[in-house]
Amino acid sequence: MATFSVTRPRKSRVLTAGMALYLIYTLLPLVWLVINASKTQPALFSTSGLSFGGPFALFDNIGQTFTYNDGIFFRWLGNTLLYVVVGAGGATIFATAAGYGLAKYRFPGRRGVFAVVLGAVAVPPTALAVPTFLMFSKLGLTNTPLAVIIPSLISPFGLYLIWVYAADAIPDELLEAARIDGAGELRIFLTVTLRQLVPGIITVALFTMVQTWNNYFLPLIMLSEPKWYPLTVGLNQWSAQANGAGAQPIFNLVLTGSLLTIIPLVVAFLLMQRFWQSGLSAGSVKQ
Amino acid sequence: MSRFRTHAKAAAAVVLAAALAVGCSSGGTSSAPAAATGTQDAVDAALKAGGEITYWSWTPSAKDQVAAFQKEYPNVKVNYVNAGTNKEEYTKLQNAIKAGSGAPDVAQIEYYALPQFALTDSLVDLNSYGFGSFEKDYSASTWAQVKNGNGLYGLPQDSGPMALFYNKEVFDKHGIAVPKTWAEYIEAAKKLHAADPTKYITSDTGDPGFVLSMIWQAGGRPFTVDGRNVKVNFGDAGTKKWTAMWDQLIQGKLLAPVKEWSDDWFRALGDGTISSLVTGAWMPGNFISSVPGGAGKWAVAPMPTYDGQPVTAENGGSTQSVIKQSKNPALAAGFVRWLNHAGGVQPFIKSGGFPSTTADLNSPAFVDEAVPYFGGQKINQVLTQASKDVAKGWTYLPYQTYANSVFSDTAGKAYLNATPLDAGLAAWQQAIVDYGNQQGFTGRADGPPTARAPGAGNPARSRVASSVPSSSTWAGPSTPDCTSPVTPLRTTAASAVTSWTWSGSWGRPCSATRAATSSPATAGKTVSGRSPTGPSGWTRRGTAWSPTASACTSSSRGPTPRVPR
Repeated sequence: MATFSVTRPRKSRVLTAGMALYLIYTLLPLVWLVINASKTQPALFSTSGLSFGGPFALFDNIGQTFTYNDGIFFRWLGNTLLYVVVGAGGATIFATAAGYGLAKYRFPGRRGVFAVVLGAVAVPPTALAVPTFLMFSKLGLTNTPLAVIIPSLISPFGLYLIWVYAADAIPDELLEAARIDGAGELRIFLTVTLRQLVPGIITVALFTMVQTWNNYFLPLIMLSEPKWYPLTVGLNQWSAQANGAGAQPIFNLVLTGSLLTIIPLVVAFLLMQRFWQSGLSAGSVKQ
Repeated sequence: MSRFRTHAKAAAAVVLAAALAVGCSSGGTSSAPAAATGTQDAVDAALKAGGEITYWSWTPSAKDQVAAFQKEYPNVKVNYVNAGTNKEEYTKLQNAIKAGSGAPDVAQIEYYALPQFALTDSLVDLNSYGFGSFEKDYSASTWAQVKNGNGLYGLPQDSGPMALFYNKEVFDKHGIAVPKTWAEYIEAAKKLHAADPTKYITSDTGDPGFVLSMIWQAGGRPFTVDGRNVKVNFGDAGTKKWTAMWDQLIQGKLLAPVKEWSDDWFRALGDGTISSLVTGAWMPGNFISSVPGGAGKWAVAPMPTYDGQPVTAENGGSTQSVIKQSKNPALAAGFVRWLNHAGGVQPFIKSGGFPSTTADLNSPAFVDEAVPYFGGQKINQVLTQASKDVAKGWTYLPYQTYANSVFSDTAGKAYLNATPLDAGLAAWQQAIVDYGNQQGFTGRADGPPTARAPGAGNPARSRVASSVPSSSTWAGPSTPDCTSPVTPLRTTAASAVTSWTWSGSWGRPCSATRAATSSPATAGKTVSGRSPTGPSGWTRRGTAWSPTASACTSSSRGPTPRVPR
């Protein structure tokens, strides 16, 4: 019989089969998307969903996606990037600073903050969209990019993650040493702490990025002009064109647009996954 | 998809909240303004003076129309914005109206949604520009739909008199004659599906717009609206006539399980899986642009009826209205006049639209056009006749968009489980009445319910909830009370929250949002008529429904986290 070790664990057929099923389940929509993004509109309606059919029109579709309606897709892409860079970037910065502060400084009300943050993690952002809308409409911020960016700046989950991470990853002794050497608190944060926190920051950045990139409902109710739409809302508008009187289905562009929309996220994950992994496993072993 | 629907529902809830607040901010004026008549001089002067207006529409021809308009009136600039298709646009429009800024000068609004905006005093009465004199230029059925009380809240863009579109090739192959009555239609459905189980007579997965049109044709008039008094009755003879007929298709599994307007649906129309459609006269353009596989196979016939006498209903269709927020309403009205009463009509027809102007409906070039897609049939002869056979006296709810958004949750179950439509409609009626009461309408479930869900308690009459219990925390008035416009808003926001959290992946939340929405209707009288067990997963505590412990999951999973070191 074969022998098993830590480096060569025993294989379980059941688990492997389960994983294979899960893999298929995960990949199938992606495969469907790639296949159908390569079809023309008529071919979409006349061929089966899981096989190629009709002329191969992927590049044609990509060209059309970028030029349809005076290149509005390009604008949406730009908007999404803006919301991600400013919104998710800002959320990461805030989460990092606040998480570190809460982990390493003792001050009254810390428990209160903790309760609020945990409570906030439990509330799905979608549930807050309507109150936020009513508030923003009073401030006159609706239908502006700020209406999407400001709510995106807050990431209770990110804050919690950095908090937990910082508590374990940064030894108090290190901070004490820095203080003895005469470093100010800001300098400690910028030169000592940030480096230690990189895996955590990347993890939070990825989370908030995905969240902002996929943000749908908030921009849907906040924005009325297509020129401020992010990709998600814009693609939905294209999809809705297939409805009712005078319907103009452009499912081929919706599909190609969706494919183009997920590519940056996939790339971001591939580039940052090593940080991500080290972030997830941090603190699992006590040194 | 269900997630999207809940979003839409939530959005609709915002809309209504906004609608009410707006109704109030306008001072609670009577919803039936005196007919203000004016002349078109102001409009002509405004067009001459020029200016800038914003126009929201999703009509495919909008871009061409705007370009043509600006060519004719070079000193008018029209900012065309596609702010979303139907519901999406209404949400945004209502939100902008509520916000007090950001609404366009002119917007496309479907007939069914028009009362919602007219009632909240958001639209300019075009009588003040003398447009009332255009009545003779439009088909009676469309003109009736842009009027609300004495007010004229838009000019009709298109109309959708219903007709029967059928796949002649499939019908001929199976020896099916074009059905003239609904009885024949059902026979055809059975025959076709028996001969070829992959083929269906039509598809209907539960579309409120279609349902209402079918009730309209059958003679049902479920909605009676008088100012803020709303009566709902899905138990009238006309409605029952339709449900009895359509039940046979649902329960016989004779409807294709294909969602309307999906890619599958377009495919099914092309390959004969769906062999007929009862829909509005605007459909041919869709066939031509989106169902290439059906070219030469489809034909048009009058809508089947119950007794063989021609009668039809409207399905869909839009108007262009001037929004009160407009800074230059005369110019906006001038644009609307051009769109639907002058130069804009031809580009609209060219894009495949079905007009509402009698001159165009009766012009030989239009009526006698042989359409190659339909095998050279002069389809407009059938469709124009249909526009003359529309039954009169139909009214939509003043919050139809919301009502439509909860159709799937109530009446939709009849489709899903193949249970009687009457029970489904009774549930829909209840939801409509409840919501109306919450929003400050005096809603009434009028007449005895036709069929009740198994286990349902009192008949609808006993559920009439026209007054608000004084002990209730809900302070919403049954007539507009402008001293407290905020309260209904809060109620609605909470109800919107419930909609989402229910759809969330975290399971049913234990928070008390449901209780917050169960304000007057559920707290007092309405619930008593529901099935004794209440909504599934909710138990009755006192007069309110609370989630049962097993039905909800706590949001925080796992052991309670501690404050990190």
